[in-house]
Parts: sequence; structure tokens; C-alpha cells
Amino acid sequence: MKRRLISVLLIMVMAMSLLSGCGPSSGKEETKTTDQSVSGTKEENKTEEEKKEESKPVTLTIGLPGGYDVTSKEIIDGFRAAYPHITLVIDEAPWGDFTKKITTQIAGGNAPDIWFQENAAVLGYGDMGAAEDLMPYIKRDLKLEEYASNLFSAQEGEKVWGVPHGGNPIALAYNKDIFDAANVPYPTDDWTYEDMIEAAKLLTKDTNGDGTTDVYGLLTAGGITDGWFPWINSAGGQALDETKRNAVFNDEKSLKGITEWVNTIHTYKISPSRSTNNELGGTAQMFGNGMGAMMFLQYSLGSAVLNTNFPDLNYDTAKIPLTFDGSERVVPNVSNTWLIFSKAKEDNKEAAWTFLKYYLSADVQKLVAESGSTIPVNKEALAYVDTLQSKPLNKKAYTEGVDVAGVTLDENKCWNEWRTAAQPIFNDIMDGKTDPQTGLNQIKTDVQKILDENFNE
Amino acid sequence: MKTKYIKRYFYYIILAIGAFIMLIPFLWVFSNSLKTPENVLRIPPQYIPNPLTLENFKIVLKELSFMRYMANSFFVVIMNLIGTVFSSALIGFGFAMFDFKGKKLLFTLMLATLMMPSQVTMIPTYFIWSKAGFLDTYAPLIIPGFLGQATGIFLFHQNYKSMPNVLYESALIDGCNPLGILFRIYFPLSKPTVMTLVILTFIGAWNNTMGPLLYLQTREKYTLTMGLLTLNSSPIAGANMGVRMAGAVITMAPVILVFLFAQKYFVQGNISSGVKG
Repeated sequence: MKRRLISVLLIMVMAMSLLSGCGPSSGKEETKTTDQSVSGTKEENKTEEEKKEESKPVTLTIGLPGGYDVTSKEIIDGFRAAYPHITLVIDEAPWGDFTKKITTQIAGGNAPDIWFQENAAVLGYGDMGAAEDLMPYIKRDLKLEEYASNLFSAQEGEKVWGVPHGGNPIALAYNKDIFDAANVPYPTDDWTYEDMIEAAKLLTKDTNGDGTTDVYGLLTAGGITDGWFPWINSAGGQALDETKRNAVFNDEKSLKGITEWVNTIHTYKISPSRSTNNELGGTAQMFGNGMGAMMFLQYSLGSAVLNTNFPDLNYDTAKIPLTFDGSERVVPNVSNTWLIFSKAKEDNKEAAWTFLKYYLSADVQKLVAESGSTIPVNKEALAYVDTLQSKPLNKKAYTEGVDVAGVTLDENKCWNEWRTAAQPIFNDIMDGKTDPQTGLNQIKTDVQKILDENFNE
Repeated sequence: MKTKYIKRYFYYIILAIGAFIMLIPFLWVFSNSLKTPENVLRIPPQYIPNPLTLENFKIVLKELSFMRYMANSFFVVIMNLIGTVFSSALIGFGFAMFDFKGKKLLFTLMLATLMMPSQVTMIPTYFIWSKAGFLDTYAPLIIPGFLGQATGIFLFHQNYKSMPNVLYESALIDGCNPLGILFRIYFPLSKPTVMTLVILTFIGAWNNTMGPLLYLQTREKYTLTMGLLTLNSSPIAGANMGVRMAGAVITMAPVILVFLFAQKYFVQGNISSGVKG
């Protein structure tokens, strides 16, 4: 009996020792390289004192949502080689679930020194005091002329809560074969929304004569980035005003834009209904299957969905059309943003900024560009994107589009809250259950209520 | 008599339809896991894969490290099973057999922990493990099992309470000490309760996502549920639904198998402890 008990206890002790063997130091991915050949930038101008201060050993914890699937390992390894005095500890989590983890870590006061998340979340962290203001660092170390305007995607007033991990703008994708078959000229950068609609009318076909449309001229999306947001801007309207604290939504121009958005489905019949779209796998899937001639395509979907699932698809892109009156262009751009934890130690904040300077340098931004899933923010790397040979070939539709006309999706600290409230009403408008005027009035009321709750504390 | 049979068959048909409806999502996942990428999202949908391929499983197991995740999951689950079953049996036995001051209060407090949502304790628990230096280890996922689990303690308590006292007394007279009585007499007699707890613990530990998400930081230590989550952003699996479905099949299969093999005991255990299933 005693022997049995002892064996049970022994098993437990062995289990505990196994666990202690998995202690933090043994498990974490810590690599200290001694490669001194690759040095940091602008080292030659620094005093001995500054160099000594900068090369103080620091352990920097970096949060990587999606791990190396999203942030290239080459970039991380390059940093280790360039800055051997900074020991990187990687804290990764699956992409979609990182928010749950980081929220707990912030509450527990144990967040990584630096991580990235969607821009709106970073604005929220800035507001709650968890993100470090990067404006002083940017002013001190960056040459602004080297970066596209979306460097400041996470700016609020005088403060900048983060810098882009990468951008994901939209462009007008078109199926060349469908255009050729209908003898319609390809879209150009001087197209307006009116031109796009007119071309879509010519491209919409019932190819087998059974009374139902087989090829749609335009695949109108229902979401924010490629759906109602660009359309609300298509006639010069707005979702929120410049302060991002007041809802606009139902002004005359916004109403015109949203009315045209709905007309593509119900009046012009150049686009499938939302339910048909969903049944057939969504806009990218329909476009890939040759069921749509044009769509607003987010940059990441090109490489992740179209090029992977439809390698033979003959498509390219043009810039998002100019507004109906031809006066301006608005290119929605979704950003993921790096931020530095405000409660990190000072040395770690500096080390984190060193990482960000490295990340924003032209060479590293070219690696970002090569991933194909995101647009860099460094202008030299943006030019490099244009030389990449993957489809779509006309990447200027994205790079120039975002540089000249890129806007955020009116992100603020309660962005997720107000856009979630607005989306079901936009769905009803798109389905024809609510007329645009009534729907936009309702959206303005609901969104303003949320903005008031968040900004009038 | 005839009406009785008709009634019975009618119930069976209703149950069979219900069971089939419940099975549809599983069958769909399984079917998609055996399809080539172009057939997964084909319109009209293909119900039976043609051609049938195991390529998705190969990708998941070899290229996406699911073998590693599975080994990690089994390690965490087995340690949890050992810890939970033995500690719960020990504590349940103590509550059932011994009288001591504050027993009722302690038992009530222990049961009260069942009512507490895990979200409430998530941040303080994370704080404790992080301060103890156990982040990125399996300790936060395993050690709690060794400290007793309220459902398990309750099941064993109810089970041992229902056994005749004479068993305990005769063993004591024969010179067996209380630990010996527990592990030589009571524990072997509580097989259905053990199996119930094994199933509950297995399912709980296997499906645990929040724990690994919070405490594990390096991918090599991920469990299967975490591995499944990584598929969404994986360049290999992100756009290939078939690979993701294969990952889901691999993650679900052990739980389904364990439940199928042990369901008889599960029902018995629930009945013997008076817990309605």
C-alpha cells in the first residue's frame, strides 16, 4: 500500500519537476547574436557616452499577433543581428485572439514593451494611458519627407499613439477578360464613380439567356472598408467630422453617395444583392470565379485570396474613382499600428523605439512590401512595391492612392463600438428594407449617442 | 400494443432526425477536410468529396506542426487528469468521511467557486502566475488541477457519502489507514465517478483556449486549440478552407472518441452522484 502511495507521489513530483523545466528562461525564444558586422544607422555621429548608453543590455518583449505569419521572421532576425545588446523576447498569440490576451496583460500590468494592433484599438489605448506618445520620438529621429502621410494614422491632436505596421488600402480591381469580351475600355485613374457605374451597366450580362444575371458589372460590398465608407465619400459626404467626435452621415452629400450605393443593386441592377453575394462566397470569391467585372479590392486580399485561389485570374487594378463631381479621391486605408507600452521601463521604451526606427527604415520596409499583404509607409519602399511582379501589376493604384488620398476609416477610440452599431442599419439600407434617408438619420442618432458617451465623460 | 410501437418508432424517427441535424456541421467539416482547395467553396456545393484527398491532413500535421501541438495537448490533458482525479478523490473523501470544525462552511465555499465566472478571476490569476514567473510554461494550465476541482470534489463526495459506512469501519478494524481505505476500497468502487470526471476534465482541458492564450508565448508550446487559431493567419492555411477544416477534425476527434467510449460510465456517474446530466 505504502509503495503504491509513494509511486503516486513520485509521479506528482516528476510532473512538477517537468513543469519547472519549462521555466521562462528555458522556453522563451531569446537569441543573442554576436554579429557586430551589421550596425545601426548614423552611428558615426554619436559620442562615446551616447554609444555606451545605447548599447546597455536590454531585454525587450515584443508582442506579435499572428507570430511570423504576419511579421516576417527575417525582419525580427535582422533586428537581432543589428542590435545585439537588445535581447528580444517574442510574445505571440493567434491573430484574432491577441486582443483578449493583451487586455488581460495590460490589466495585469505585464504587457509587452511593444506590440501592434488595429489602429482603432491603439487610439483607445492612447486614451486610457496605456500607449506612449511617440510624437517626441518622431520629431527627434525621423525625417518626415521620407514617409507617406499615413505615418500619422494614430494621431490624435498633438499626440501620436503609434506608427504603422502596414497599411491595407483599397483599389478598383477589374477582370480584364470580361472587359475585353464586352469591348469596354479598362478603368483609368481619372474615372469618376459615374464612369464606373456606366461601365458596369455595359458589363452586366445574362450570358445564357435564362433571365438571371451571370456576370455583374460591379460587386458592391456591404462592409465598411470596401462598402459604405468609400460610397459615403463618393459625393463628398462624411461619416464623422474632422474632430471624430460628431456624426455627420445624413448630410445631403452622404445621402447621395449612399443612395447610389444602393442603386447599384436595386435600380441599376449592376451588382448582386447582399444575400446573393453571401451565398456565392463574398465579393472576392465571386470576382475570382469570373462573376463580377469590378470590385473594390483590399490590398491584402489580392495576395491572400485571389492570387492563391485563382492563380489564372486575369485582373489588374486602377485607383479608386474620383468623386461624382471629379473634385477629389478618397482611398480608405486600414492600418495596423505599433505602439509602445507607456508603463514600460525607460530603457525598454528607448529599445522599443530603436526597433520602430529599424522597422521604418527603407530596407526593412522593403521586406514588409515583399510580404504582399500590406503596404509599407516608407516612400522608398512604396516605390519598390511598384516594381514587384505579382498581381495586380498596377500597384500604384494602391501606393499612390494611399499616399495622395489615403484616409483612415474615421477611427477614434470608440470606432469598434460605433461602426458595430451602424453596420446593421447599413445592411438594412443595402437590402432595401430601410430607405437611405431614414437609415442614415437613425445611424447619425445612434452613432452620436455613442460618441457623446465616450467623449463627454 | 400496436399504438405503443408506433409511438416508440415515431420518437425514434424524431430523435434520428434531430441527431442527423446535429451531425450536419460535423459531416460538413469532415467532408471539406477531404476536398481539394478548388472544390471547398464550389457552387453548387459538393457534398461527397471528388476527388478525395488527404493532402489537407498532411499539410496540417507536417507543415503546420499539428503533431507537436497534439503532443503538447496530450501532455497538458494527461497531467490534468492525474491531478484532478486524485486530488478531487482525496478531498471528496475527506469531506465525506471526516468531521471537523468548519467543514460545512468550507464545503459551501468550495461549491460557491462553481458559481464564479472565470472572467472574474482571469486578471488576478494572470497576475499571480506572472509574478510567480510561470508565464510561457505549462504550470498555470496544470497546477490548478492538482489542487482539487470543485465539480470533481462534489462528485466524489456524493459518491462516497452514498457508500455504506460499514466498508470504512471494517477496513479500519482490519488495520488499514484512511489513505489505504480510499485508494484500496473506495476509489476502485467509484469507477463511474472517476470516468465522469475523466471525461469532464478531458473535454475541459482539451478545449481550453483562454488558458493557453494567456500563458503561452511561444508557438512551440501551443496546444491544439491554439494551433487551430493560428490557421486563420497562416499563409498556407489562411486561404485554404480545406486545411482549416482538417485542423478542426484533428482537434475534435479525440474529444468525440473519448466521449463515445466512456459515455456509459458518464451516465452512470451522473446518476450515482445525483447530478442531472
